[in-house]
Amino acid sequence: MNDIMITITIIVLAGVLLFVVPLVTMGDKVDDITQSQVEALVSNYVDEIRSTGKFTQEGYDKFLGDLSATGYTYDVEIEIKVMDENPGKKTSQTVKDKIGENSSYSKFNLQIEEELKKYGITELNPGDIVVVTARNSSTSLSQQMKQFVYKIVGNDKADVVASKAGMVQ
Amino acid sequence: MKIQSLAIIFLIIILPISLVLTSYIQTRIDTIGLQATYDSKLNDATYDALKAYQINSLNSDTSDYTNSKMRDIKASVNTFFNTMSSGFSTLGYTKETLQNFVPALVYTMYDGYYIYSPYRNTWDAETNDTHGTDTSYSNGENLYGLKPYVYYSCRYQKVGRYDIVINYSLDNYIQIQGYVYDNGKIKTVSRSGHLLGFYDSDVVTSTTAMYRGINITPEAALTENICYYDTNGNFRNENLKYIKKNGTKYYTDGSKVFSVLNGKVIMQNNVSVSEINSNRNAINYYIEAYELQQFIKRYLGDLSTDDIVNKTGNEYYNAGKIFDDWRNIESETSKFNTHRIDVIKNSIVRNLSIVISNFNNYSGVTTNFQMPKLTDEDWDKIMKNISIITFLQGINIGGKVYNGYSIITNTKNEDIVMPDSIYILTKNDNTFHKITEKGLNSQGDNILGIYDINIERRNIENSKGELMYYYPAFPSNGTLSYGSIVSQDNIAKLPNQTLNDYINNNCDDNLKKVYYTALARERYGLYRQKLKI
Repeated sequence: MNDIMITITIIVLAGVLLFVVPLVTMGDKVDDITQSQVEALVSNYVDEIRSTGKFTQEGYDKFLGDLSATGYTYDVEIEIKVMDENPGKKTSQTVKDKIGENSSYSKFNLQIEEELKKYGITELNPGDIVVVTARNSSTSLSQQMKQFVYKIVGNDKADVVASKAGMVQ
Repeated sequence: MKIQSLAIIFLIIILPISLVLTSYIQTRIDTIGLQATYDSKLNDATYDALKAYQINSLNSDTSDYTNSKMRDIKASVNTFFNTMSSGFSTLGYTKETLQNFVPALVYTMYDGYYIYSPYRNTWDAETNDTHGTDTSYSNGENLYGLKPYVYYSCRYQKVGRYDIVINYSLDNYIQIQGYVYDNGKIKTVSRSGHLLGFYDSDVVTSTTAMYRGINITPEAALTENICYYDTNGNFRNENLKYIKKNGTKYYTDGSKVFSVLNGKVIMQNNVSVSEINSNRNAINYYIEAYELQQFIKRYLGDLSTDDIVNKTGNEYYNAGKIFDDWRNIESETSKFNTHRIDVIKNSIVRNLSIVISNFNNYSGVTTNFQMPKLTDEDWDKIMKNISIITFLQGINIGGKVYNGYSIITNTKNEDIVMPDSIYILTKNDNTFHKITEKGLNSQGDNILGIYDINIERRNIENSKGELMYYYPAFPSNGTLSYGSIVSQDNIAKLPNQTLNDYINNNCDDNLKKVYYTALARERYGLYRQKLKI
């Protein structure tokens, strides 16, 4: 009876070591690679917007397509901090659109997508700040394997998160 | 003992060790990843701050003046924190929180630097009585702001000879102020200008100039595109003759002279049309430099690093006499340049170390803030052009505390004219070239030297309230040379050759003259204090 218990324990442990641990490790590696890919995609996308000063439907679709190609689905949050006028400065040397002095208002996904739907393009001015954040909304392989082994209630944070902010030039 | 039991014991020992090791390695990987992320975000924010300064100053007609410059820097600081807080928002940091981790921002300018850091707002009793508590600021409050401008300066003293302060800059321009002894009599002096390596055969008088064997002559009027509102409020986009004097561009339509401030015309009487038609900036530049050289030879010829006042240790390389090899004084390895770099480095390090250590008294976090050691490569960047240096310290990144800095150089500014800031325009095809491009010799009158900043985009609001862009010195069908500016694969200068050597040895007299004239014209046109005593 004792031998049987030991054998079963060894088989379970061997199963964990032979299948679960490599899968979790591989899942982590895949997440790491995906993280790098998503960081590069987000960074390139923000750089493209800040250098062209244009936010287009075509570019947005391509960005979402590139993200999907990594194998996960993502929540993409976009915020554009639009530079507003600076009514406070009224000296002779004043230009009203100095970057960094003016207040700003924010446009988020909903407003931006509405504009894109209407015009196909949103033009930005120098000084506007673009913030793009992508986080995976589907469970990654690594997360699935970890949840199979153990699950911490409430700990459902995304494994792949990338964010970048940049000023339009 | 059975083999199964041994296996279980082996697993019981190995499994926890392996799990702990995996966890430790993963933590280290996360730390390095986080450090790279923070480095990237700090670089991004610094770059944005620099772009904001660049765009603001290029589109301002008063960016040469101190108050306007301070305003541009403050706007740039705001941009830095805006981008930082936007970039760090997913990590849970706000602008206010981040300020506790940024001990200093340094803006190195042409002849000095600004440090942005916190300070204690201290009032004397009278101010306290006057303002009381009914004010936006209160006594003893910690505020963030720009500290007073610090010059790259050094004081030299030799009893019975001189007691002077020399302000250095990012190129060979210096300002000398203090006392010299002239035939035993003490004399107050104030001189400024560029230190140039004239040949002994160069003849410079009060009206003519020769530099390195090249006779510098007055230039025909330069023209550029300018958008402005005339005195009747009509919007105009014209190509006008102009001259730049002390940081201000004076335009003429042939009859009257005016400058443009925020798009509006201001009539001017102190510059004539003939001055614009016959531009003598370059000649004046060489005359000023020659006079400065004569002054130094007469009074400060044996000024050496031993004369430095308040030298505490080995902070200065013992270069001996600073002004002894005039012919090579422009060389990067001259004693003057070695000492100049020492002075700039020491000034920045001394003040910045104090500011960063003092940050411990202002920050709400328990980190010992210390200035990181900048590498030689960093200093090279700082010496090349005006720059922004930002520091981010004290954020816990799991297992260690983040201590990073970023240096970004501003290559597009109107504060400085570096030797490589002059492009050669070939008029027959309206193409801009670097002087090092192959095939620029034997061009005759076909070439003109242009300051590269004048081909940068400017903006103005037109009468419809729309932002309109224009390029001051860019012809409508102009292009940048692919071989020297874009791909840089058609360059005649050898990698180990300095620009100075290349011009001396590889350019014909005509090209030299165009280059020397343009460099001198643009340098002389910048805003500089010109108090001559």
